[in-house]
Amino acid sequence: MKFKNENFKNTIVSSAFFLSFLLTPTILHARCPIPSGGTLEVRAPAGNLIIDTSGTDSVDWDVNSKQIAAQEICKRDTVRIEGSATGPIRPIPDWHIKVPRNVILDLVTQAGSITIGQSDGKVNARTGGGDVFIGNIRGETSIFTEAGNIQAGDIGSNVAVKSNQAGNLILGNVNGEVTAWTQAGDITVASAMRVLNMVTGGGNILVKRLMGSFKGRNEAGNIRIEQAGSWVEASTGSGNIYLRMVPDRTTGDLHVNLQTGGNGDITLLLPKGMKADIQTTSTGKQVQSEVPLIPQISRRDFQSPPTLPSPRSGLNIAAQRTEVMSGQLNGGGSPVKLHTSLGKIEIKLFN
Amino acid sequence: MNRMECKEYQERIVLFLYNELSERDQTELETHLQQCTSCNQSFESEKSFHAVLDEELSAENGLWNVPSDLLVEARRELANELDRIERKKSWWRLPAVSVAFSPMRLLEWTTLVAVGMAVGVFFNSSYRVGGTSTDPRIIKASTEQESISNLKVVSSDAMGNVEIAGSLIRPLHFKGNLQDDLAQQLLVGALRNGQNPGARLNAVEVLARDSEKRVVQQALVDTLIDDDNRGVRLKALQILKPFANDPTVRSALLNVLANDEDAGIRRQAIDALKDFAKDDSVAKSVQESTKNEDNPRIRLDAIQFVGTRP
Repeated sequence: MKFKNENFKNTIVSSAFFLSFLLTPTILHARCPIPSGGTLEVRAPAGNLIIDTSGTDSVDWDVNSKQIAAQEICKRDTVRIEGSATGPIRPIPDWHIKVPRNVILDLVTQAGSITIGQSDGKVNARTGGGDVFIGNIRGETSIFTEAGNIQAGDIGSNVAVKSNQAGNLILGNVNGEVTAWTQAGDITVASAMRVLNMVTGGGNILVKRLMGSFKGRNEAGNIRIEQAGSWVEASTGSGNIYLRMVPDRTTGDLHVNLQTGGNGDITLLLPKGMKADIQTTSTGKQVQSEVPLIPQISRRDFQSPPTLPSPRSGLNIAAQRTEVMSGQLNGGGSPVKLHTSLGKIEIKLFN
Repeated sequence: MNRMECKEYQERIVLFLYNELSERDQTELETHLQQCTSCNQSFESEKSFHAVLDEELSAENGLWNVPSDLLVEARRELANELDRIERKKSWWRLPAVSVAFSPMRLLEWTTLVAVGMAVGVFFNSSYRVGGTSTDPRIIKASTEQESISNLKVVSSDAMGNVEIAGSLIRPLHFKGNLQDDLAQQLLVGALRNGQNPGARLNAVEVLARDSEKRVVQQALVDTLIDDDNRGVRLKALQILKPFANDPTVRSALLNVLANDEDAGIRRQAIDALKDFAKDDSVAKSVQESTKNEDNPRIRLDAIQFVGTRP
């Protein structure tokens, strides 16, 4: 099970170049003034939204299409830019918008990508189809695309990202809770305080560092959590799971529940000082553990065929039995449950 | 004469020869034999075979030697059986297993064991890739690790005959280099035939490292078009993107644009085709493929695509 960490790094670097290219200063006309902490609302019928956050005290904008009639509504704390299509839109227009860094961004385009530089405010960005690229955001961030990839830098608060159809989700360091959902594609997070929920229909999940807990699943693909500080519940329909528990304290809720379908393997690394009640269930009798485990009474898998005596050829007809093993680490503690259908389970201890 | 009826009567012939039929069944069979030429021939054949068995058993004091012509006959039946299995491919069958012992049953068991061995050979060959099953790089597990799953009873009757079908599974490990044809063939095989989407996803990722090879590209194209899992298709598309100048890949991308259920994948497909906007036939295909497109972004992309033509 290998993830392309180098690729992840390259992706972030290339995204930064892409952002700087897109955010090259464009001649814009000063329009509405906006106070610090004010809100910018954009409602575009179509087009790529390119948000430059190097502005001072106003919202400056332009759209490079004659097929779009746009207007601005200036209020005390809010600036709203809305447009409508006056004819067939060709090509996809670009909306260049320059705002101060500390405004709240509420952006919607019916069709197009969204690009945002650095922001100290909250961000809510939605597109009917297209990629979303954002830099470092200090406030709460919510991103939705009907179909496309989402790439973000560091987020200083909670973040929710969703690609309703296929698309990869990549987040930098998140100083808050993460919710990430994609119909299909990889989900990659450099670090987070906690993962509330992470789901992909088909793709790998990689979290390099997690201070708190994790809950997530995929239908196909690997799940790799390189450092988890609290409890973990992860399941994959068919893929491997790798988890390294690195809690600050060895007490508290550190339960682990890992499940893989098919022939997915589970690799779990636990600190030697952790207290745990470990239980493994597998059908392949392939459990390697540095914690002594004792086989429990076998119970037959629901889906296994009736037990038959082995024929003379020595074929193993009753191989679908679920083998349950259990053991304690440091006298027992947090429940650690590992289940694989046909794969291997490996439990290692580290200092 | 009804074929089903004949089958039942022919099954009774052996019992009749061993005096195991009830009087009523015996009378019924005799009546039928007088009317049915085919069953009568079966009866005569079985009777002569029975007589041979009797002779052999008495000559060897109970030790049974199979006559050479009988072996020829058994081999012929075995060949037929193998043909049938070849046609069925993924299924193996155990015909007519009965707990009752008799010389006829012994013959059945002998045939059964032979068929079993042949099935074993068949399954071994199905794991061969390019006829290299003896390749030292393939580490095959011992027979103890073989298992049978998905067992089901296909048919059974009151006489104790049963037909059982299932899958024979044998673990396999390979160690080698990706440049190795065998490694590629195994991965391509996993991609095309693997039941497990996670394994297919892994296979795509590994094959991506050698995606310039024609055989790899073809496997990825097939995956892009046919795989059930969106994640696997998406991954295949991402790897194929740089090869859009290849007509097969381009055609696959157009197919995806027209037919894939996932707008995210369709969007990536049209994105991969961007460099061919000046190609009239591609532009026309894009226009056609996106005629009923739901997603506004893809519609716009398509308009832009066609609009960039000279």
